[in-house]
Amino acid sequence: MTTLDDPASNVSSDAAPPGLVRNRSPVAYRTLALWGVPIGVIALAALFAPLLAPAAPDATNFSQRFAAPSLHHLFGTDELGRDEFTRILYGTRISLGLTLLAAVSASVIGLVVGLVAGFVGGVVDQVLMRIVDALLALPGFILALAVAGLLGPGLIHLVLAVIAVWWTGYARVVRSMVLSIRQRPYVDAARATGSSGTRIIIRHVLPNVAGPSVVLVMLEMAHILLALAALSFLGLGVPQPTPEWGAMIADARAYLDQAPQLLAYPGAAITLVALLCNLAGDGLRDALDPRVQRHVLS
Amino acid sequence: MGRYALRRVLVIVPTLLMLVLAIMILEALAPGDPAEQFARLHSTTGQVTNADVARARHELGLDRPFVAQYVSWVEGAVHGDLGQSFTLEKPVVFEIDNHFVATAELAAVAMILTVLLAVPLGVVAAVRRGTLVDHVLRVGSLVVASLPGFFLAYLLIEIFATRLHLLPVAGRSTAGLVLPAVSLAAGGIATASRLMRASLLEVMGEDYIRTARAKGLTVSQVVRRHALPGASLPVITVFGTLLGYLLAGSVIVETIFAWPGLGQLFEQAVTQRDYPTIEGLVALAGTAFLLLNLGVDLAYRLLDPRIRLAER
Repeated sequence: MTTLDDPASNVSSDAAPPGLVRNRSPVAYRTLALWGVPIGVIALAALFAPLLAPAAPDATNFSQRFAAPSLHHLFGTDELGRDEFTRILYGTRISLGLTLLAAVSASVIGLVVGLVAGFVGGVVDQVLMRIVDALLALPGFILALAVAGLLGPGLIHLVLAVIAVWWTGYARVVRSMVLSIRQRPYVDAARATGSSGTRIIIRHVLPNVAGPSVVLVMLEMAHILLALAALSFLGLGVPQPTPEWGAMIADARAYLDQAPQLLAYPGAAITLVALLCNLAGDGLRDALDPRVQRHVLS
Repeated sequence: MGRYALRRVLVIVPTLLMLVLAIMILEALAPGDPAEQFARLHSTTGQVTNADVARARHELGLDRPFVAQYVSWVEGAVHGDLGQSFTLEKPVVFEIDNHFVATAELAAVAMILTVLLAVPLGVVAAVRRGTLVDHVLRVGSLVVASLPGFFLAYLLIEIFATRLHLLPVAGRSTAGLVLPAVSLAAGGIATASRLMRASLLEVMGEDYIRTARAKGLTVSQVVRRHALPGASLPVITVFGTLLGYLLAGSVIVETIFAWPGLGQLFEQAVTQRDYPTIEGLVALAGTAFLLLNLGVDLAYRLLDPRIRLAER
């Protein structure tokens, strides 16, 4: 599992000058627009799932088990005769919703911890960073699996497991950004004119850290989505009959011979959304990294 | 360098102690009671009374104060004793020993596959930057990186085992190694080839490459003599990332392919609340991960003259 400080992500503390997002090139906007549109369409479809879906996600019909795709059932039906298209559509809600909830919560916690550690320094910094180090000593997914397994079933436990793991990476990156911002002349100037620590954090440090943090969240969306799906595939967190994509793949295993498409639809759905997130994040990173552009061979 | 290495090695111990402490705090806070499960497992009638659960709790040592449990775990670990599995009722060390080779085999094959494929793919993409080849490789690697590992595993099973009957679906054998190893390696190949491409491109943006171009060397000469040696350094860091992939992926892949390794052991331990096994495996994975990342850091320092010189 890629962590936030992997060498490929150039949005590290050293590479990203503060105020990165404010200076972004038109290319970055175009990349965002290019991949943001399909992501937006999928998000809207998820939001309006009850209006768009031809059936209820848990409406069973035993005379219609494993129906082939047709006009009536766009993706066919599953082992209980439930409309597969409806379940995929509702699954979008769950997967996107949980991913967003986990990503935003983890980044807010990471932002706060990183700001405090970087700005306060001293013992506070030491303690917080040793906790971060300890949690980063395991590949993220392993730790998330342990947390989700121990907390037991429940969608919110699944999200908690991912948050418990992912905030650490943000905290570390934000902290190192704060450390470099602290040394800038405008912070000295603010301090010299008598600004309090809180005021400096809110007026000077936070605005400079917030931009890169947003980019980091976007870069991690695909990883979080895949981790959530993998955990629910393993049977953690998602109670029946929730139409969660990972859990749907787990259910489809038993009927591989009769209806392999039941495995394909949720699998393709996860791949598509993860791919769009990756494309958006990847394009954004390239557009924001000046080093890639001033390239000799291009 | 020596002092730096020593300091880094010494930091590993408190980091691991903190990690295990975090896991034990989580176990203490988590809902669900392994003592009740244990009592049920040993009950002949299937009925358990409060007295049975209390006895089980005492037998498992869960009735001791939290600090005592933690201290005794640390004391045991120092002596190479990771406790007794709740469900398998054998020493955790014995279980780890039993499952270790299977995971090592799988991880080694996956690692070799990754390096053999990712490095050349990354180089080709970087050298042919902006061409069709680059775009195909880039989109391809993004698609593979976006495929959930468990979905890929079932795709491979459906194609190569069910339809073509070329390879077995599950079980530990040489032929049975192919599908799990490929499933396990895929994500790493996608990521590592992108890292290779990025690091080569970064090196090619350096001043000395421009100098080499300016003095009249061809692109291929520049890549061979100047860029690749510089770019191979950052690739060492890929190994740290790769081990993370392999450890995380092995849980899923081993579960799907019934591969009797540590990943499967961990998955079972988590779902059955087998605390000592969870703690032992977390400590083991943490040690491996920290040591490998330390090794990567040290190798990087040894090989990169810029870091060495900066320290003087």
